[in-house]
Amino acid sequence: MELVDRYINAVQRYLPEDKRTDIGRELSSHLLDQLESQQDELGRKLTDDEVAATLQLWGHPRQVAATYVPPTPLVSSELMPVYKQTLIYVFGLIFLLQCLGSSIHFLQTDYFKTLQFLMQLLFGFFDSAATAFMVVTLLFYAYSAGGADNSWLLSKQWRVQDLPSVSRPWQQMSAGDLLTDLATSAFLLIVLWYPLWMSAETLASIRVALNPEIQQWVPWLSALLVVSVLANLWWVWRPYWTKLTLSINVVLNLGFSLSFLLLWLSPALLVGTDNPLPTLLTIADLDRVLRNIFLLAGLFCIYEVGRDLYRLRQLSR
Amino acid sequence: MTENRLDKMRGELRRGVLVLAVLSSLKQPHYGYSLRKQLQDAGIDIDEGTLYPLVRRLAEQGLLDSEWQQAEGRERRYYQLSTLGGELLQQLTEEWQQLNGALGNLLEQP
Repeated sequence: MELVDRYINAVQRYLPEDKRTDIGRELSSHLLDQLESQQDELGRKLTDDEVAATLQLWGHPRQVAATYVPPTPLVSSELMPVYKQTLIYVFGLIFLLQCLGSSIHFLQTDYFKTLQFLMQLLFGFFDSAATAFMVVTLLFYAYSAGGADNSWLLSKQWRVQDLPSVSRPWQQMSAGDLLTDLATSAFLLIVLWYPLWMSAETLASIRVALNPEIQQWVPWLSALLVVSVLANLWWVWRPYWTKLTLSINVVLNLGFSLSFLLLWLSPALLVGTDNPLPTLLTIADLDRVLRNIFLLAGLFCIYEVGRDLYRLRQLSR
Repeated sequence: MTENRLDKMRGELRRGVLVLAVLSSLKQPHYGYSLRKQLQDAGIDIDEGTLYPLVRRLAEQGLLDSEWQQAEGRERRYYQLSTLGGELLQQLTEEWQQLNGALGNLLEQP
């Protein structure tokens, strides 16, 4: 019965050390009983091929070991929804921080390359996200395997009355939209306050600056952006469109659309500095590009105002 | 595809009552292979990969007592229902009969 011994040894390899002997002993007993019964039926000794065929039917040693000691999943099925939710929030936060980090880095350099900025953003995000994924998974593994009290994680203390009154599919805010809005507002805030982040050398070598008339708008725009960041942070916690959140969004978008359209109508957004612009590029060209961006952004905000007013009407019915 | 689905659902259906079948069979002591034969003879065909680990798990939960015995020149582990297992079997049997009766009524409906 050398084949049986080989098979049992192979199964034992996949078992925890403290269970190897006992399970191996029991498995051996089951196998020998089965082979003996087959011999009795045939009335002769089994050939090695017949023994091998029977063992083959039992399955791969790793599979058999797993039926005796099922592998512990990294995250238990009970914790899986919380785990996925945590990963979404953590990835969102990392993306936001990466946007801020890359923006500050971009303002601190004396040149700007779009592709380099995007690559830095992308690779920085994946690098941090991979580490975060590992840490979150290990924490959940420790929780799943340790059998610790996880009732607080599973939100067992909840009341139906506290659930949001959501009757339309669009009332659920998308995580992607929330993060995009957060990242955009934070990015614009950093760009508006570039003198705070830029090094003295970079500031000295800057080729264009905001027109002093436009500069007066910075506090007003900053206030709008800060409110937008705070509102979005609140909505990450309660991501539902209600009358209140829709109203706030209408006010914010009205403010943004008004600002963007006024910027679009401004005769000059930028002024040159003592440092010359590269050849083939003029202040007027940059102004035109910026104005077009402001026009599109303003129209988009107006669309959002219209959409949210329509939704407010729907909720009021 | 339909056969696969049927096999899967049949497996799920049987898995739930296996514990009951095993506990019930182990009112008398059995070693692994003899338990499997008894279940087979009763019309419950369970593959080794499911039955033997299940018996072990039930023993680890204290529902079965086990003892190694020498017989026919070989050692075998005999399993038998423990006191705790007997109590659980009684409760599960009542539960099963109640469920079976309710299900029977449902299935008889036109």
